[in-house]
Amino acid sequence: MRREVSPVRVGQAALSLAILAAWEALPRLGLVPRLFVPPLSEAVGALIADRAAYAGSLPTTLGEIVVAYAIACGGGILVGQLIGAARPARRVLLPVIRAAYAVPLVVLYPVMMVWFGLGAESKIAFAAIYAFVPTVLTMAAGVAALSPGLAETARALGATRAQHILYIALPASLPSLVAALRLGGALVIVGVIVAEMLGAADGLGFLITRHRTLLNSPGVYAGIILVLGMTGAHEVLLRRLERRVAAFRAS
Amino acid sequence: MSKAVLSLRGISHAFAVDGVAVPALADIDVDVPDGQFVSVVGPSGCGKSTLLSLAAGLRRPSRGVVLCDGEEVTAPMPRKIGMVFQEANLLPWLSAIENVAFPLKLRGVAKPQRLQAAARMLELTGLAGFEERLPHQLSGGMKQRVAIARGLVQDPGVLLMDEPFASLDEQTRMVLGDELLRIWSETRKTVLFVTHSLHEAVYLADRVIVLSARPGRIVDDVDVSLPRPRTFAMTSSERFGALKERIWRHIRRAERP
Repeated sequence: MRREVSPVRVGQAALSLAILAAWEALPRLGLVPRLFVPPLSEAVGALIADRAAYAGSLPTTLGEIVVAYAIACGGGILVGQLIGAARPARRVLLPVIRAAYAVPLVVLYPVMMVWFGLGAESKIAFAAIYAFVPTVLTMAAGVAALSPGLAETARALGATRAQHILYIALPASLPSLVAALRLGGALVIVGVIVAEMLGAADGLGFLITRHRTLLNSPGVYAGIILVLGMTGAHEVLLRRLERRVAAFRAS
Repeated sequence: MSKAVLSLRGISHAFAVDGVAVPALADIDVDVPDGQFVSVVGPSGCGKSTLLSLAAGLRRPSRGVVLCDGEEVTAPMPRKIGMVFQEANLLPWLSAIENVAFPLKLRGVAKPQRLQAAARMLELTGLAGFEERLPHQLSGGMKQRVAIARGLVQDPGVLLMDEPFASLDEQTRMVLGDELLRIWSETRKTVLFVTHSLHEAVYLADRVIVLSARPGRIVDDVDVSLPRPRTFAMTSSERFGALKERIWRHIRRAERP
């Protein structure tokens, strides 16, 4: 089956191309200093020239992301489900969690390095905690929005607490689960990169910082291109998941 | 008269609102014999829906007991008591047939058996051919038919209906009322039907229980001695009018400020 190319898609592609073209043209025309933003081709050139170093940094960074993702999103979705499903928990915990979220966690990163060392553990801890709270909040909001009529009907039909969660609360909250993954996943990627930039011996963030200290802008942007690639890949995976979930969705 | 299938004995119920007990129902005693169709009416806020949720075991009364087949109802008993709400409350991600089969799934009935039972119920409620539709592809009346089929799929002796047609338009309401009577005559369930429509209450039921304003007490228990099957022509008969008027007098008194 052939799919029609929608005008929205065409617009999106045109916008992306325009951004890339501007990235290339503006520095070359001297409208943006090359130290701030080097042309796209130079960034890509740096990426290719230094590919061994960049490729070498990826296993460390991706490994940290995967572990932090599992902790933040797995734990966040579970806790969000539990909090969202119980009104007392919602009323007691949510304001506290929201308030705690306002603390800029990044100031605690040096402390985490003292606890967990310079290796992967401190990055995982930072990124997992950083993404955990928004994941919990998004999930809890989705679960709390579940129609009370559906819950009462389930009870009248004889659903146990476990059945209620499995057959009603969980499928009903699938769209917010995707939203929680989208937000949590993006924050995990940001968290890992930021943590690596602040103090690490390896990884993509570390590489970006090293190029920055050497004022090697194309090297910095080569790293940024890789980060964009990661968030892009994450988004593609989520779109796929979303399509599957859409089948479960209400009108 | 056959023995009572559903009994409400000395029921009083109060809600705690900001720590203060607000009485909703007082001294309710009702025995519903097997196969009887009973309507419950009363002024708005008289606790008629509360009465139904007590009968369903969704709440425990502050005082008194609910008995179904002589057994005390302390929690929902889906195999003995089916329930239909004002909103169909279907699971939006399940097809019509899967929604009807859902109570059987909760009980662990194997898929072929539960789909077979659900298909029978959809046929009974006039929805053969709509098995695979999702709820958002059904009209309001059809959704309510699915909800009735779901309430009946476990073959409970008692069917509790909480204003099931209240959010439907007039014509759909009348059609579904006749459909409900047909289903009832085929299955002979004991029905407790809460409504705010006096017309509907009299038209459908063998007996109409009238509640007072809050806290709801039984102020009248009307025997609807109209022949069955009920027809639209009966609704303009003198007897029908007299019954409606008798009930209306109670409600008017209660609704007066």
